[in-house]
Amino acid sequence: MSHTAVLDKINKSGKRTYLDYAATTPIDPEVLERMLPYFSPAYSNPSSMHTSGRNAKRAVDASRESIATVLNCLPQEIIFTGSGTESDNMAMLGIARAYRNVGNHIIISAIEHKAIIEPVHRLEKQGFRVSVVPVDSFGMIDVDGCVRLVCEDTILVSVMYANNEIGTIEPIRELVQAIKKVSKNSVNGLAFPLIHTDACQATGALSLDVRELGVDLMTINSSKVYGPKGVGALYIRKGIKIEPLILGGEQERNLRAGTESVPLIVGFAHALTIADKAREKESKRLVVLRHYFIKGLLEKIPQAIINGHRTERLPNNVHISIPHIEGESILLMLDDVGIEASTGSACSAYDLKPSHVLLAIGQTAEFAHGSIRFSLGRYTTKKDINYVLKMLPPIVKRLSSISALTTQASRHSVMANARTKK
Amino acid sequence: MIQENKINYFVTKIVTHAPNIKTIYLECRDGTGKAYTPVFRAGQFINVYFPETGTPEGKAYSISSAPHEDILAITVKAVGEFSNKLHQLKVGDRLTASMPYGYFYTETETSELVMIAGGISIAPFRSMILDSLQKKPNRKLALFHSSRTYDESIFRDEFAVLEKRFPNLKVFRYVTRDKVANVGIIHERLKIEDIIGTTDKAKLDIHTREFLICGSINFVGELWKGLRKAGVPEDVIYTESFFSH
Amino acid sequence: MKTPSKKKIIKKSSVNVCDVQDWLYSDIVKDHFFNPRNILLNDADYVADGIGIVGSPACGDMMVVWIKVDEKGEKITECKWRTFGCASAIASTSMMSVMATESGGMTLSRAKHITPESIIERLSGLPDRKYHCSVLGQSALREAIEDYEKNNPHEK
Repeated sequence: MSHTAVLDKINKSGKRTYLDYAATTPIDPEVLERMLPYFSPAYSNPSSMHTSGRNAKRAVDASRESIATVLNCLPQEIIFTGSGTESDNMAMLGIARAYRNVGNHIIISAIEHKAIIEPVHRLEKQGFRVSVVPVDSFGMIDVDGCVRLVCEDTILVSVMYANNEIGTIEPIRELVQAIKKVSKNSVNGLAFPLIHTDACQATGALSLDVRELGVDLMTINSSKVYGPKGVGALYIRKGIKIEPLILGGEQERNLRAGTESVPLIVGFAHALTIADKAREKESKRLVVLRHYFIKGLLEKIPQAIINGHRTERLPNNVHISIPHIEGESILLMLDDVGIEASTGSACSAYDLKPSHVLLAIGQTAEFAHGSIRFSLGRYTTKKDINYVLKMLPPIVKRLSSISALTTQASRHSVMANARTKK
Repeated sequence: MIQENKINYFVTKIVTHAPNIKTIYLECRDGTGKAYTPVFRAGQFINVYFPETGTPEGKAYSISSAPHEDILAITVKAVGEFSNKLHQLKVGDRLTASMPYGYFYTETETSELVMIAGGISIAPFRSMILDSLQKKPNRKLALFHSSRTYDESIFRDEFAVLEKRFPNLKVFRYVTRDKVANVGIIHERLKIEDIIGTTDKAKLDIHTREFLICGSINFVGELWKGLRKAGVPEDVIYTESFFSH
Repeated sequence: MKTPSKKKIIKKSSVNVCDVQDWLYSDIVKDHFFNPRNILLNDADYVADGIGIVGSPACGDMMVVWIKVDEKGEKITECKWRTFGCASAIASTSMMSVMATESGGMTLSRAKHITPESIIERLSGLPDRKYHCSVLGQSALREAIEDYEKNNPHEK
C-alpha cells in the first residue's frame, strides 16, 4: 500500500475513542512545537565540533538536565536510549555482564514486562541463576518473599514500579529498604544487589524521585507521557558500572553509541516536565473517571471481574475479565464502533500464550482469554466513558449469545468430563 | 470431547534416529497396573501436556507406530522448549497426554494413496503404510518425503526393506539442503509436477487416488493449492498440520 | 526525442486478501465475524441428529456443532453452532456451516472431507497462527458426524 493510500485510510478512520494510553500516548502539541526546530534548521550532529553541532549538544544537555530535575538526580546519571525496551535490556544485560565477577544471581518479579523477562532468560542460558518473586492475586509482590531470595550471589533485583497490564503499583520504597538491610558491600563500596525498576507506566502518574525511591537504576520512556516515540532513558546511579549494548561511538559517556536524535530527546524532556508538573492534578482527575468507569462496568456487566489492586493501582488503568467470551472478539467489535483498547487474550498474542501477568495473579486461562484493558489519558472525557458504557454491554451480550460456553451442551459436557476424569 | 481426557502414559523405550529426532514408545497402565495400548487408527495423534511451558492446550504429536504393532509410539524432533522436554524423558518416566484422536485418514479402502510429508511429519505415514500393508498387502501406496537434511530423512532402512518386499509401495525421498549426494535421495525441491504432473513419479490411478498431506502450515497449504490447481477435487485431499511455536 | 516507454507495473487487484503474516483480516472473515451464519441461539429445545464439541475454555477456543441429517441418512440439512473464541474461530465455524449446508447440503461422506485449507480458502485466508481455528471447525463437524453415525449405524 502506498503512503498516500495509508494517509487516506487514516483520514477516513472516523472518530476514534482512544482508551489505549498504556500502549502509547498522542504527542502534546507543545512538545511537538518544541521539537520542530531540531529537525530543521537546527539539524546538526551533537558530536560535531562546529557551532551548529555544539548548539545541538547544548539542546541535548539541557534536556538531560530537565529530566535529571524530574528524577532528582545528576544529569550524568541519565543515559538516553531508543526506547523503554532498550533501557530495560541495557539494565539487565549491562549490569549482569559488568558485575559477573561479583555474583551470578538475578531476581525479577513474575509480572515484569517482556523487555525484562527476555534478556533475563538470555542471561539464564548464559549461566546466570534467576529467581522469580511471585505476586498475590492483586499483582502485588511479597517484599519479605523477595528478600528471602537474596543471597551472597545476588547482583540485581528488578521489580517494576507499576504494571502495564493490571495497573498494580509495587511497593518499591519498602522493597528497597528491606533489601538494603540484607545487602552486602562489594569491593567498590557498592551495596549489592543493585535494584532496578521499570517505571515506564509510572511516568506521569507517580513520583520519579530516585533518591526518595532509593533505586539504583530506573527505566523511563517518552511514548507513555505524551512525548515522541523512539526515545527512552536509563537512570544509572553514579559509581555503577554498566556494559554498553551498542558500541561504536562515544555518545552518552561511551555507554550508548549512535547519533543522538536531538528532536526526540528535546521532546521527551519537555513532555516529562509537563507531565510531572501536571501529575497530581491529572491523577486526581483520572481516579474520579476511573472510579466512575469501573462502577458503571460492574453495574452493567455484573459477571465481569476487575484485575489488579483496588487502591494501589495506576490512576488510568481499568482491566477487566469477562467470562465466556474472548478478548480479541471483544476488541474487534469495540473497534468497529470506534473504541480502541487492548487485551491479554492468548489469541491476540503471536505465541498464542495467555498473558503471563494474568496467569501470575492466579487467573485461570479461561478468564484470561476474556480480558480487556482500558487505559485512560489526558484527553479522555466522561463522554468517552459513557460511550464505552453504552457500547460494551451489548457487545458482551452478543458474544455471549454466540459463545459455546453459554450452551446447555457445553455444561453437560463439562460435567461429563469432570465425572470421567480419574 | 476426547481431547479433554488426559491419561498417564509411561515411557518404555526410546530410539534415536538422528541427533534431534527420537521415537518415544509409550504404554498405559490400568487400575491393576497392567500395561495396555490405547486403541488408535493409523494417522491419529495424541495431545501431550506440559503446562509448565505456558501452553495449557498442549501440543499434538502424530503416532508413528501402526495399530497391529500393539504399541503407541510418537516420533519427535526437538525444536523448542516443549519438544526438548519430550527428548529429556527417560524410560519409566510418566507423560500426560490425551487419548488418540484425529481425523487424518481415509475411510475409502479401494483408493490408491499418495502420501506427502514435510520433515518430521513422516511420522503418521509410517503408521499408515505399515497398517495398509498389513491389511491390504496389494494396495498401491506412494510416499513423497521432503526433508532438509539426510539425517532427517528417517525410517530409511525400514522402508527400503518394505519397498523390496512390496513392489506396490514406492518411496521418494527429497533432501533439500545437503549438497552431498546420497544413494536413493533426490537432491532437489519437491515439485508438484512430480506428484501429479508432467514428471509424475507415483503414476497411480487418477480415478481412485487420494492424497494425504502432512507438514507445516505453509507446506500443506502450498501443496493443497497446487493439487487443486492441477484439478484434484477437494474431497480426495486430506490434510494435517500443526502450527509450531 | 523519443520518450522511453515506461514499463507499466500492473498490480493484480487484491480483494483484501488476508496477509498471512499480519493482523489484518479479510473482508470475508470480518463479514462472518460480524454477521455469523447458522448460530443456534437457544439449544435447550433443539433436537439434533449429531453433536460435536471440541476445544476447551482453557485453550481459548471451543465449538459446539449440531447437525440434522435427512431421512435417507445421506445429506446434512442443518448445521448449527456456537463458538467461544476469537474472530478467526467464529468466522471459521460460520464458514464451515455454510459449506456443509449450501446447495442442498453436503453428503456425510463429502462433509468428512472438508479440510482446514478449504475453509481458509473460502475465507480468503487466515493468519498462520489462526490455522488451528479452522482445524477446530473441521473437527467439530467430524465429531458431530461421528456422533450421528454412532447412533445411526449404516446397514452395510
